[in-house]
Amino acid sequence: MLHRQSLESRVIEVKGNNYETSRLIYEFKPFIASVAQKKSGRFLEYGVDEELSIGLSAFKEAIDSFKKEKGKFLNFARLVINMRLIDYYRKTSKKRAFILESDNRYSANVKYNEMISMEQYQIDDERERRILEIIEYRVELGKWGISLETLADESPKNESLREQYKGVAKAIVKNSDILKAMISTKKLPLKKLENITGVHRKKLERGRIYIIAMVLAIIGNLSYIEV
Amino acid sequence: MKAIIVEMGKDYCIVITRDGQFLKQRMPAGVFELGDEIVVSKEYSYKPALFNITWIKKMSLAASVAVVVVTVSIFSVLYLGHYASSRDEVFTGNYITVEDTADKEDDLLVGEIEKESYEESGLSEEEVTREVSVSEDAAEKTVVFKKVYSFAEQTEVEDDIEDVINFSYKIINNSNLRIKLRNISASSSFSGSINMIISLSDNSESRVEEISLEEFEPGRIEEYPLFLKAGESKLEVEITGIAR
Repeated sequence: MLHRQSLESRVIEVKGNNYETSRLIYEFKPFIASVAQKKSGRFLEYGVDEELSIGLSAFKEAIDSFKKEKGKFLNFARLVINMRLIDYYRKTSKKRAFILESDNRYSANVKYNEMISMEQYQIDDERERRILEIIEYRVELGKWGISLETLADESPKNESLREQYKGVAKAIVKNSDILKAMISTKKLPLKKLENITGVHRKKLERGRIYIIAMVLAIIGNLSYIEV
Repeated sequence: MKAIIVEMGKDYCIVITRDGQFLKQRMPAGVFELGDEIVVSKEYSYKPALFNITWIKKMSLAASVAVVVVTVSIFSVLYLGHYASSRDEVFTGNYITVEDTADKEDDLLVGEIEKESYEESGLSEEEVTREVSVSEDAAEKTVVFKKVYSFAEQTEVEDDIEDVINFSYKIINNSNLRIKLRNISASSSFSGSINMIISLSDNSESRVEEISLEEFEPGRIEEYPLFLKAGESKLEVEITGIAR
């Protein structure tokens, strides 16, 4: 279900394939938004703010021009997004006095080394890994029709209940039959779980979304969580 | 307690802690990014509606609108009732409007579609009005859904996606795939796209259909008829977009 191909390999594979490129861009929309928001210093909405359209096309540009020698893809994409936003802000700025009009567009290929030195910070390896895991996790949750918002609203506030549900998730992952059944039917086999864990069916039903989220966190290697 | 940011909203973010809690924290946009680790505290927990003056105003307005609509409904039913030609005639003066979509084969009329939507919702007029009058929090919601269906095993399906979109299809005569999308939310419009990847029994891709929706309003229905080619046996549906 979750293949652990590196993002860099996936980007190389996806180049030139419009459909797969669109899929990749869609999955990373939250990342693009968070980079653009940090640059602009305010909340941005897709379909409303121009910065996000620029972010999307910059991300695509990063995919098209990415090569393995350029290092981590998210680092590279972030640079291209930021550079294109700088171009945009310059163009829309009321102040006429800016330098290098002819050099306005930073070519992703030529200026790469200079851009590295210009950026004050980079995404470090651990943070990059976290971002990838989060993106994948969101996509997997999406397959179950579960949103992070729902999880925030409905996940158990009580610590012992949470631990109990995590125990159920662990039991599911340990039992490959149940796990397979769950993945293929997209349903929790409540009766079997009740027998194995001793937790009453109704309780399992109430914690359904959280249990599924924990199962996906375990099998998806959401490394931050200690289940 | 520390947590990492997994989603960012307008004035809040959703984080996950090491022990697996999903929390909403108040957070102005443009400060942190996805994946950043922050310190969470109870005082920054996000309570969107309860103590918000704007929310109270919204609810009062919604309540007064609901009173007016219910009153008008009752009077109209009583007054106009005897003009109805059949007992199936439905009052459509409230704000669930339905667009007539081209379904030329069955030649459905607008009235029949509206009837269908009421019957499907299983609610009486008053209940529908009451349900619609409960104003939802106007926060934006990201909708992501992906599912694979097998035509051999599932000739008719229906899925509710995050209380915003109802996706359904029916296979008629083994070759006619009738896809239907419906906005089932009370007050959110959906903008996004629906990708449908149809593949053959050997899992190779046969074709891809894409539907783009812009401000797809509550109650609206979009129908999409397709003719299935020989050998097409699976449908992968991906719905991504924003409801607000």
